[in-house]
Amino acid sequence: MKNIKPLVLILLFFVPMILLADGAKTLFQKANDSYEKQDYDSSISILDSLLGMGLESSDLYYNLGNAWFKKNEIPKAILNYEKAKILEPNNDDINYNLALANTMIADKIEPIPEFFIKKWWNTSLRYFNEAQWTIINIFSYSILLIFVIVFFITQSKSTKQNTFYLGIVFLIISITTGFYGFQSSKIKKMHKTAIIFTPTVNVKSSPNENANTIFVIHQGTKVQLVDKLKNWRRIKLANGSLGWISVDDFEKI
Amino acid sequence: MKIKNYILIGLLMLGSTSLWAQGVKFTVEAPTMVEEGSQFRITYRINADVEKFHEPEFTEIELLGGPSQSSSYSTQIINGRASQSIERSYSYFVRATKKGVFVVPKAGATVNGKKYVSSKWTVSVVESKGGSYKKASDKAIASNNPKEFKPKGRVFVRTKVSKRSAYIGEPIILVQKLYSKERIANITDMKEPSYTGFWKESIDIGDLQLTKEKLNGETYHVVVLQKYILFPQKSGKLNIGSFGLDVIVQIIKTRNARDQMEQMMYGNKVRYYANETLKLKSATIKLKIKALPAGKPTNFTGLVGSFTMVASVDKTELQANDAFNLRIKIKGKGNISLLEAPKLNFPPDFEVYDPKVSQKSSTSPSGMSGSKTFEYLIIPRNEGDFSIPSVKFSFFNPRTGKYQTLSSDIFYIKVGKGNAENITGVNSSNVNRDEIKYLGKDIHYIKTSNTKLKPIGDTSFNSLGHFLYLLLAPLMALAIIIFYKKNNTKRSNKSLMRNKKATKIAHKRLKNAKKLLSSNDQEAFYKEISDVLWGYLGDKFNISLSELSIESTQERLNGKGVDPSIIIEITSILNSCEYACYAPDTQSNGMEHTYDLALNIISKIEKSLK
Repeated sequence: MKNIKPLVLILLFFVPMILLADGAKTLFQKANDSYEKQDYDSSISILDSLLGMGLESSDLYYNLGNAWFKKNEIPKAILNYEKAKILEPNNDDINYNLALANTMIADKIEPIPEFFIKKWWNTSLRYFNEAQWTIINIFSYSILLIFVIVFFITQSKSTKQNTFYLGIVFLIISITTGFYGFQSSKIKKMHKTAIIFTPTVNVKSSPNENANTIFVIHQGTKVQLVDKLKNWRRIKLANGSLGWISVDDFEKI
Repeated sequence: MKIKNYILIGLLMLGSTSLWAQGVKFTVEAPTMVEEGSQFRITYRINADVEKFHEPEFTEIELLGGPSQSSSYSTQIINGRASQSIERSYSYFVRATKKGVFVVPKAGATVNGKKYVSSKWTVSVVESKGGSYKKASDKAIASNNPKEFKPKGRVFVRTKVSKRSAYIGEPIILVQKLYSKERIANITDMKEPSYTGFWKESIDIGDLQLTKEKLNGETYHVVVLQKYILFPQKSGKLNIGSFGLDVIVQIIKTRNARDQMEQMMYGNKVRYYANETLKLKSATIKLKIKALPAGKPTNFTGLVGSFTMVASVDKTELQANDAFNLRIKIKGKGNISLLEAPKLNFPPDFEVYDPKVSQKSSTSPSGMSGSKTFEYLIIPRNEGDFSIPSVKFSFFNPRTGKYQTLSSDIFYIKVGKGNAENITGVNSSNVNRDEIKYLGKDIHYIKTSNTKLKPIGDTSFNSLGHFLYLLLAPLMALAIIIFYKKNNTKRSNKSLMRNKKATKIAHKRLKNAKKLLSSNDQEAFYKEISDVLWGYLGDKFNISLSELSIESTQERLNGKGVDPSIIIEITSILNSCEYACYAPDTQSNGMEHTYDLALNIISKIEKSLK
């Protein structure tokens, strides 16, 4: 009898969560059914309500992007695909649909070639998502600790030597994966990129409505947010061009 | 013949006396009042034989032609006295260009080496009212008409310009006309002046047409030879040189009848047509060309005249990738062919084709006028709200002497989203290699499997669990190490104890063996000895019972640096004990011997370890 009380408490705590998750799952299924019936509007509204409940997943964003794509709202589709890609950077479907959507926007920006180390870094960063990096990090860290323990308690000289070297290897692995995990969680939290939503945006030379227009970009283009001043954001394009636009012109990824 | 001689004699006799007695009269004949713009004749008359005539300089009035010279001789015989007079006249056709009183310029003449100057004459030029003043000038001309034919004055050319002063680029119309009262057989050898400083455009006048024109009350046959529009290209005083041509006129001449037949048919005087070549020259025309004033607008391209502009678009709301037209029509008088397409700043999303230019211009006698239309075909490539900035166009208006800039309205174009087929199909600017690869493809289907929904922004990295793990795992590892180490020391202490107690236990058990020896229980005795030795070795060298064997013991003893002879000895004792257990020995001293050996070997090991 003594043991039952905390169990009940725990159950009481988890039931709403489970119910919520359960309801969310049926909602997700309902959205998929609507999509199947080509009722994209209701599919979008259901998925939006899920987001409104504070829940997200790469699949949710992906399906939402597909629905917007079917409604020919390319910028919104791109925004959702990009969000899905952050949660799951190495998913073929997401990457394919995003690439397809990107062919339908007006701006074609030639990205400046990156330094090869940075390129490797970015490609390898996208190899796993944030959660996977964390798991790999924990795993390698645990192995490292095991080697440390063995190193200290063994009496055999050769075992000591082997565990020492393996320990160093796993120390390096856990530091690297820790860095990867940190970076991908940073990307997930910082929202440093955005998608343009205004059909045609005049990019200004300074944060002022009357400033000179340096170039023009269009909806659906992905920009990096580098600086801010009041209602203006400094953006950077993939080709390295810099300029200021108003906060109303874009939506953060 | 007689008469002629008579006259000659009279002239010789009286000429010097009566002529000089009369004195030289050098007069000017001209109307006293003329209308502004009317043409009239100024005649200088001198009643003497002129050696040299100094032409007057006309500055205030326009010289149209002349001088045409005429002279008359007359002899009068009154009461038997014959008097003779000579009269020479020089006539100029002029035109009054300005109102006011002007003095007829003085002409000079040299007679018998003496210089004479013409008398003074003033003409007042009044505003044109038509009618009344003409008569006065008519009279003057009429009175001057020579009785005999003098081709000059009856055939002349004039160059007329529409204005004497103009701005650069302002059109001036120039007309070359031939005036004649005679029959003109042919026109040869036209000499065009050079029009340096002008850009010339000829006006098509078609075939030469004979018209009648009244000039100073006299009707002339007039042929317009050439018509030009001149556009001055530089400022300053520019001259249009005189225009010359040779005209062959058929004139009626009279001669005395050659014979009686002629005299019978035509009378004393015979009239006949003769061709005479006249070299005609028009007066030089001086033009004052004013430079365009400073402050040219930036989009001024040299257009002078007066223009209007109409700009229009045919659509203000359309879909992306649909075309619309922007028409700019500029209409007016002036050098419109110089007009270039106005510069327009189209939004970068507009694809603009080169304008279709259509020009309608006519070079009519009133000048050059026309219209030029620029039609732009524009295709917006993207949706959005755009504006075409106002079209600006500048010209110089010579009438006001100022630059004028016309600007159209700003056009606001609302571009909607084109349909999807258009975007992929027509929009060539967006097609790239990637897109061609994807044409006709669709997005991948949605994910239907159950998804793992997580709170938004939830990250597993740096989460509390991750953090705690990173922190606690090393602590746990440390705990394991410490625990293990402690355990290890305990175990080593235990073996030390065993080591210390080993000898005592061995001795105790050997006493037990001695009892068995005295009771002569052989089997139990050997077993006891074997146990004592094994136990001792196990305790002493920290060997667990499970791995206790002869081989492991030998190895261990070797490792501890025990003398090999001792190892051989202990092995042989253990072997013999084992042997004796299964094959009992009847000799009692064997048991005693074994007891001594065991006791001995323990003390030996003890010694060797110390």
